[in-house]
Amino acid sequence: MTLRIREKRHSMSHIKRENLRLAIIMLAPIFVILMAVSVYPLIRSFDISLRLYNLTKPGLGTPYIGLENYRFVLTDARFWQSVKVTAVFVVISVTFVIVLSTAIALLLNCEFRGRGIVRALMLVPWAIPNVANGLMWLWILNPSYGALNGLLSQLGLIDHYIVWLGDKRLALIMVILAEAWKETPFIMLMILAALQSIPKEMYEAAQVDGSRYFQTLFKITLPMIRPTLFVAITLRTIWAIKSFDLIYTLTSGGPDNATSTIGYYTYLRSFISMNLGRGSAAAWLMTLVMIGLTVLYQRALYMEE
Amino acid sequence: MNLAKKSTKVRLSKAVKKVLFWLAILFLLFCVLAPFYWMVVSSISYQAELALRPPHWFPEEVTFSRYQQIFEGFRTGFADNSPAAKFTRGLSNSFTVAGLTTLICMVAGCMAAFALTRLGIPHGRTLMMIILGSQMLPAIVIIIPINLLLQKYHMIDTIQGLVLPYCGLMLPTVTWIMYGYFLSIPREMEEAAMIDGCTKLQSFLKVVLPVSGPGLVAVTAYTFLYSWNEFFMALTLTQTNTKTITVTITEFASLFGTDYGLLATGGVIGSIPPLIVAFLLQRYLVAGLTAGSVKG
Amino acid sequence: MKKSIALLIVLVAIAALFNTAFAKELSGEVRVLVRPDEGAVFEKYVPLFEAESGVKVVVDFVSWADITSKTLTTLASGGGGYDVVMIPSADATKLMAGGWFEPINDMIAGEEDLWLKTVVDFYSDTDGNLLGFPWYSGASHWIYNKAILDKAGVDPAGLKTWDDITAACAKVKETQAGDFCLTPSIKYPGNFYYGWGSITKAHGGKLFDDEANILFDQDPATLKATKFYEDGAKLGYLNPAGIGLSDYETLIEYGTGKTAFMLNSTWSATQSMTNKELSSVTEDSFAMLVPGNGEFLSDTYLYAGAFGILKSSENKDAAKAFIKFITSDDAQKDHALYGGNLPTRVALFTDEDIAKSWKGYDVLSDQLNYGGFAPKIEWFDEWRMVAATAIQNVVKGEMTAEDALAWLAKETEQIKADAE
Repeated sequence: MTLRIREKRHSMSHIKRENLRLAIIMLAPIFVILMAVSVYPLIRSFDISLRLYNLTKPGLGTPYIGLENYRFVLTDARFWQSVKVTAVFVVISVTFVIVLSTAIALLLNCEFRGRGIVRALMLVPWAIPNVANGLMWLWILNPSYGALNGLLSQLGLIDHYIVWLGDKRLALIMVILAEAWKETPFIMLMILAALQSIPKEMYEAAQVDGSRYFQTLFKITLPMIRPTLFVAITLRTIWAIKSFDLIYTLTSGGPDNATSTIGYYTYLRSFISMNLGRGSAAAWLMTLVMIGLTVLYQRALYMEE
Repeated sequence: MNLAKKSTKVRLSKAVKKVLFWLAILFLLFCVLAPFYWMVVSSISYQAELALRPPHWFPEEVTFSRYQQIFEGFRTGFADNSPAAKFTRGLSNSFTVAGLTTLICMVAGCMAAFALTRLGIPHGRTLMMIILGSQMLPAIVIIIPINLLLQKYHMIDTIQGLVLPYCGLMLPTVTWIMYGYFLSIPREMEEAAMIDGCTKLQSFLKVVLPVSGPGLVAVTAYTFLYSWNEFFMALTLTQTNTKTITVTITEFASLFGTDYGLLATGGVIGSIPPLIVAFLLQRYLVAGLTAGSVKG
Repeated sequence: MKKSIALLIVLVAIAALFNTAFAKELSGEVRVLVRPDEGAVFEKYVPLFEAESGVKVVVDFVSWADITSKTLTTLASGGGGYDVVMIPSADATKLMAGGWFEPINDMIAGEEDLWLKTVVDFYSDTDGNLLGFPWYSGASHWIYNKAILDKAGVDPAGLKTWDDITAACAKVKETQAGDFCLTPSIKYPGNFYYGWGSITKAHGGKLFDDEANILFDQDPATLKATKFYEDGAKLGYLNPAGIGLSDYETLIEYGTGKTAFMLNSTWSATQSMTNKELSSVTEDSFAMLVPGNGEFLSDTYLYAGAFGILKSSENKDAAKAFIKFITSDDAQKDHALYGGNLPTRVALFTDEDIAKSWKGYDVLSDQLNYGGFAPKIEWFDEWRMVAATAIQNVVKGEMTAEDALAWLAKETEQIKADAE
């Protein structure tokens, strides 16, 4: 009896050790790559955030100044303004993109003729280089001869041309729409892939039960793809917080800082004020927020399980 | 009688549903394609026609002069540095960089995701969070440390000097997506295989990986397109030898200001390879999905 | 022992001699970072220079929109192996403050008179070190559409001051000769050079004193210029779409032929008068000096480009030789003709070949005599962003001119304090 138990224990720890060895081999490549090109720059940028690092004042050198850069950022009105903008931007943009992607994925999950072509065409926005995307939208939103003004006035929806990027609220909405256009296809693809992995029998069972479409949706479909939805929401949130390219091209953070997100604030401090210390401090604060949100999401996901 | 009434009602609502469905699809396609269509039109219309109010949705006169300008007519032709040569070099650099990045990310990412989901590593989820956390710092801030590092090892303006940072940028996301995907695959399948005598690794390779087709294709497409389209790092880490196509496009298109016509042209040309990749992989994706290996 | 030391010294001496002899002979490679605008001139002159000097020149073109971030990142992380970097005037103060550039006073010594003094002064630091070698210059110019003014009954020859302009705008509006009088760029960064900044300077407005203290909040001329925006927007003289337009886009807007005036760069001004692709009113467009305030004839902001040599360069002599070559008379002349940028060599302003083939060259180059560079303040770029916001609020009617300037002053103090 005792012998048996010992044997069992022995074999269990043996499996674990084997797993451990395998795990180390499996994790080695990612470890090496991330150490070199992610962790090192990360540590370096943290180091910079603790220093006086003003490129316009090389005479001062780069001495350590403790948490002075963090203090500066946290008492900077423009930082808090950008936090506010980011919060609004993230909430609207993430919700919009996730709901839209799920809806489209459900639509394209139906069987219909030409589904393959429609799915392929859905990927067009995703394939366009960001550089071209930003400028394309700038061109479409042009207040004088942009296509959006042209289309809406031809349809009779507006009676005069609108300066889309000149109004605080409109500018933010336009940035969100342009970003959604670009980002939705990939998220949609992820969700579609998850939908396809739901066994058909589950639907058939639901049909036998006489459940209606929305009941099936909320009781079976969405719970089944929860892990994927979680990944999608997390990724979308991180990207939205970091969002910079499109804002840089479309509005440069304006008008009146209405689209100046934390990503843009970081750029402002690092490249326009040329104060790398403050820029890095802002970036680290931003990262803390992202980590916090990710943990929160994760809690929410596993709490309900 | 009652029954007949009910059935027409059902049929009618079915027809209405069908119409609504196709309207939704059409609207969707319009939203997705209209901006791209406008970009194509802008690249082949004369500037004067582009500044009209209301816009000409179908150009009256078509010009390919901008395409010509990008491919041959532009005046930066050094002996070994002609525009056409620059363009082809940009394309081939992009292919090399995006291809290598995709390959490395796929292999390393799947390995890591497998380890984190299937080997019962303590704090696997926390490890995942740390990996994910490493990609959270914005590129603007890490670009200077990366630049310093690459300059130190003489890797500025080399292929590996771009592929490595790209891997750092994309590996966390790739791992994260595969992590979620592997989690959603029922373990019963592997357990069955293991009872048949497979090791963990074998069961992973033989059972999990084959049914992960859609996820893998999505991740391949993601990595390829992302590294193809990346701009900021390519701008600062390349010089004359390894410029990728996105950097080459802006070089040609922003001569004196933002020339929309030229940029649209560059945008169309730069979009063609990723579009082809997306379309090809999409077919693969559909094939993988309809194979329906994940039926329970 | 002694013998070996002696031998060593002799060897070192020979090596050193050999080295200096070798250094006089130019060789190796010069890496240059410029914008693609320079393409045409570089295409012609780089092979000539290579043949003459035996130095290989590698040119890296980076687009206009990205040159600042590329240059800054590269410089901040050690130079990236470049020898020569183009310094546009908009970034000059920041880049020169970074201490990355080699003083090159020797390159211009003895021939100071040949160069446009304002540009040379602008690229010199407070200690008198020349950090950028003058390449091209330009200004914010005033262009008018003669057809519209004729229709409105305005004689362009009579437009001398801003009051004349306002009166002309009233007539354009009254007669409906054009949709708008002017479409300035009210977006960062265009708002400064091709809008409020230059208009303020032309009103005689003072923004800052030499110590970077604020003057504009108590300055009647600045207020008048800002009022020009407030009233102009109210009365429909100014096109509010300018809030969302860059300077290039205001050129296209003017090119559609519905606006009486345009304030824009030398290149844009030239395109409006010559390039039928971009402007449908080339025949009707003419340049004039930016109006003055009555006390002086004209004023505006100037810009320029220069070549700097990096301290980290290992081939400074070759770099200098290349810069001399590419900024020679002939190269500048070609640059002017191809690129629509004004030269920095004084002699070229009276060059007949250029004048013959460039419509309006006399007026455009004359503008350089009536203008100055932006203040050399390290936080100036940040300030320009806020200034654009202030003017946008004025145009949208959300602030009066007075309020906007007061608000801008408050924000400026903050930016200034942050930069310390």
